[in-house]
Amino acid sequence: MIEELVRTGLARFEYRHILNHGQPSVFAALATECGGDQGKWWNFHDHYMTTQDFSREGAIAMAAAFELDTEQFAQCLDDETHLDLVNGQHRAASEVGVRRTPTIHINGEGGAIVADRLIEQVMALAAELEAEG
Amino acid sequence: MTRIGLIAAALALLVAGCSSGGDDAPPSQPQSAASVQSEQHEQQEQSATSYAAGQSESTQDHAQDQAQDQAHAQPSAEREQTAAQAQAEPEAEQEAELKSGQQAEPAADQTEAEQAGHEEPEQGAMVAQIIESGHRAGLIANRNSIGDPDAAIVITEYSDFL
Repeated sequence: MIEELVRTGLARFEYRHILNHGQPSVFAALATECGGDQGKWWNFHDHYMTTQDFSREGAIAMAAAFELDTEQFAQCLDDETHLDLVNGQHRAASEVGVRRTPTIHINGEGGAIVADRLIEQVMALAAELEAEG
Repeated sequence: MTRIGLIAAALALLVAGCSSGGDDAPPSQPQSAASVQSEQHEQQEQSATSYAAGQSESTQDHAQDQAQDQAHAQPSAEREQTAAQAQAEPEAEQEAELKSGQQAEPAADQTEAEQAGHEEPEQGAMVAQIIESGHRAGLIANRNSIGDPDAAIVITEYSDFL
């Protein structure tokens, strides 16, 4: 659904890390960012959303499956290279009032989680922006 | 001849008879000894015969005993065989169980392999799907962002993977 909106060129979609479940949340966020270093950020995003496997071995196995440099990936994990980034996203979300997950914002404003309503909101906002010129 | 002449002649014969009879006596003893020896020999032979017979009897007895023993031995052998079979049966059962267990293990392994075989394509398909979705059908993806960087509308999802 979001992909369809993005495909139209009307919208861009961004994902921000929320770390509400402790170490597994932090690890998955770090692994995703380490995957992003080698161009596979969304692969790891979808992997964690699908498998819920938050083990180091599973992450490295997936890195190998995605044909990443596993040594570099493992080093990134062990060094917690992106810890400041994921912590910063979590803090920023808290500052704008995000408490629950998932939370959708459209141009910084609260949006619907239900697909049909989200599409309606995006289309309404697109029409408003077009009218403004 | 008169009575006196007859008595004197009889006495002379008696004297002559006593001297000749003394010479014959020793041979009678050997005869008796021989007869004794012969009797002893016969007794020995008899005893030997009887011993031999005894031996033969004992051999027969032994053979009978052996036969009896064999007759006893056969049941005992049968018993031993039965016992061995009885011991062997659990062993055979154990071996069969082990074999079946060994067969079961490969079956379990096979089942695991089949499951893994089922899981592998599923996992492979999932990975392929993730890879495909990662490309987002040609959408511009920059780390945590997809879409036109200059798009007027930004949809932001704040989420956890759990």
